[in-house]
Amino acid sequence: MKILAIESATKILSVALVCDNKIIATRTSDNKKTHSETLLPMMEEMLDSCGAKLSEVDAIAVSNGPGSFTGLRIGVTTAKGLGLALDKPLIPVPTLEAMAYNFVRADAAEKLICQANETDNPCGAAVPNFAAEGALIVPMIDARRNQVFTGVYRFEKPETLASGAADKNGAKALASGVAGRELKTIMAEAALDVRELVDDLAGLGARKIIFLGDGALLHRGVLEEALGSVQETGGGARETSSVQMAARLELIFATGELAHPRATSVALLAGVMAERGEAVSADLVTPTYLRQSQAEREYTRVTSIGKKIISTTLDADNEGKVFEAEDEGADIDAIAQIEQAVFEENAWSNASVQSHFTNPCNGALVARRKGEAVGFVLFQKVAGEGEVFRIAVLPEYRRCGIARRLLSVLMQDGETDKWMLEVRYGNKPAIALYEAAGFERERVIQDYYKDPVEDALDMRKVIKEVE
Amino acid sequence: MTKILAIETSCDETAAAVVEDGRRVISNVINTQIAVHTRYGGVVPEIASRKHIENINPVIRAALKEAGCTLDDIDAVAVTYGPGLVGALLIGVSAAKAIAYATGKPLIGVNHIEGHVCANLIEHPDLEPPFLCLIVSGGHTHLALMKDYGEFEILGRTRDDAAGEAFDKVARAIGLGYPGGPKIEKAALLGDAAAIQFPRGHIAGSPYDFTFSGLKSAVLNYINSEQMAGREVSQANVAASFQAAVVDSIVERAVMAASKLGGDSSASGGAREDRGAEPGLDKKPGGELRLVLAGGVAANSYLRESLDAACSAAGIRLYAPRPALCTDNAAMIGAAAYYHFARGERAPLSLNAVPNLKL
Repeated sequence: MKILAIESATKILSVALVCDNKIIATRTSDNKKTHSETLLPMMEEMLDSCGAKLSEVDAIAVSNGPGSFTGLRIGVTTAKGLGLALDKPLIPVPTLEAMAYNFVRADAAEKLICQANETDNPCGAAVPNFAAEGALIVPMIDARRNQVFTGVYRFEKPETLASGAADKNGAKALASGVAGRELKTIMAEAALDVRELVDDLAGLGARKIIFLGDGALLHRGVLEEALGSVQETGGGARETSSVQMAARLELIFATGELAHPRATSVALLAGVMAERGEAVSADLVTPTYLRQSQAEREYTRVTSIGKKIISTTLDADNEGKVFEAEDEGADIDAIAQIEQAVFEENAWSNASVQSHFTNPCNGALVARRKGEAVGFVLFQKVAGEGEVFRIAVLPEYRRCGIARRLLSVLMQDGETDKWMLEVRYGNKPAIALYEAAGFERERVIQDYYKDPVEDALDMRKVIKEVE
Repeated sequence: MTKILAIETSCDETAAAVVEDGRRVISNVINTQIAVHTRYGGVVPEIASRKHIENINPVIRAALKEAGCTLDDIDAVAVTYGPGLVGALLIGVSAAKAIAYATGKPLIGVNHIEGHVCANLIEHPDLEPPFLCLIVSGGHTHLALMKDYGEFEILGRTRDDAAGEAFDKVARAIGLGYPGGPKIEKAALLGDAAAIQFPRGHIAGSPYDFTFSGLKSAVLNYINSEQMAGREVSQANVAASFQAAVVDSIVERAVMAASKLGGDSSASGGAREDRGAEPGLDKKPGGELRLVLAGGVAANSYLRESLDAACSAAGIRLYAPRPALCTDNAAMIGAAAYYHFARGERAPLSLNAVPNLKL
């Protein structure tokens, strides 16, 4: 089986042609040009140089993320275009798994040992075939914002071979991994803070860990500090804030070509995936981003406090999901601050806001952007009827639809049939907002408000049953 | 006969088309993402890119299927490579290059704005350059001379916001939301265009250049002062008055340019070679006055009607594509690509997206 592979998830771009687990050709580029400019000319040159025809390829493998969004899309779209034009299937290979697969070959593992020795690794890396001996492999791609895309993998004996039938057939052993072992996922891919990763790794109880990728390079100091061998510190066992250092961990940092994503590994792992029937139509493949777009992340998040109601995050993936307040105290403070900014001398104090919540029928929704509270609505719900007490949005966040969104979330709680509110008769913007939210003018209440005296408009909204 | 498969992903439409000889549209498939972006009040580039990659293959397949052909029947693959959102452009460019490479067909890179102009070649099969064109879209407001296929000379452009941007911003300010153009047009139908006097901006010494930022500020100031005074702001009147101000500015310059340029030498047939201080202003006797309208905002019927009336009064023949060909589509890219293809122009496999590509 001939597999053409593309790896464009990070800065280093590569392509490879692999036939029945044998690497026929590969090209790598780490230049200043964009992947868009480099990818196809590089692929064309590689195929031409070994006299291979694109039409002979059985499947196109592509490193499918996580990684650079743009890099991934260039690789994946190119693979999709090739798949469509050649009528060949795609094999979307998880990028981190493919990185771990850099150690599939015994020679790769040995090479790493040599490199480790050359750099005089104080962790004592000179353990033969440690990838085969069950070391954890932790690929890390820098995801910025102090996070990494990472996962934890290990070469293990396949269950079917566990009785000792392994290693008889050399070629097969090579195909399956180091010394006939298969790559297993110990911890699924995720975007993690490095500290979270450290905690997770400490909990896995492994003795040796191989790190690779630009994220490992970037956070090496933190990893060594938190997990590293006690020999390094010259003292006895010690504790860090996050890790019980009862076990001595040997940390190995891959260097050179083993350290970054490679199309050859993508192709070799794709071969295994193809055998498992994981090749798919080119139309169905999209990258694994592991992270929402910034706009989705920053879209106003609404939390509910007090009386439980349905509230939502407003991002695409979690719409309709209930979020209860993580920290009611913080939300109450935030409401009081918005009160100050919006209502000034008529603002409710922190104590008044707090007293609102002493009634178990009362509640609030707080809208947040980038974690900052920017608006709220206070309400009461009794026996299917609800009343809107107060609604406010910080001046600099007005005209963004936040108030409308708060009302719409509130009205969709699924348990209140009728909503009412009173508003100053002269408060045109507020009345317009309520009307846009479906409230209708019920009646005018004379001289309802003081300071200054003003009529109130009583508004109502009846929630229609939704089939 | 030349069949071109064209791909367009410069903003929030994933589109593919098959076009024959630059004039005949055999298929024209558009997948719009408007619903996805509405909640954010405008196009979010990262989300657009993600949607494009989901849609690209099915859209291309649909265009081929609708045209009743396979890639074997295609003579060249064309793609918009700019201007536009870089991440969005890259999807079309990567797909087009891969298909061209895999099939061994020539690759043609097309400028999106040129594509808009060439929508007119589809609509008006006898229309040939040179002619004056007015390009009004979300990102562009240009008065340009199309001297020959693929050859443009800019007479005037916007100094700040494009007309489409101004529409989007004002629509947001008066609570109409995204997309601004169609929403303002609809709201304006119920309003009085003379209700509020918004300014028509001019750039001193540059008679053909446009400016819309002053108008946009004037609208925002108006809304604020009305709200401060406790008066209700009429969405319809603001929309109508704003739209009238934009359209007046555009129509005035376009008609002035068309009248001054005079006959665009279509009678003499050849492309214009002379490059004076004022390009193409030597009116050829007997030349027909022509103006070609293009771009997404060209779908605005108030603009079309106003321009139509002004052109009739000034004796100018106005060309415009039907509204469906005004918004982003791939058929127009296929039309533009044909003339590049015919001249033997080919893009290399290193073709990149150029987000700020100039006409």
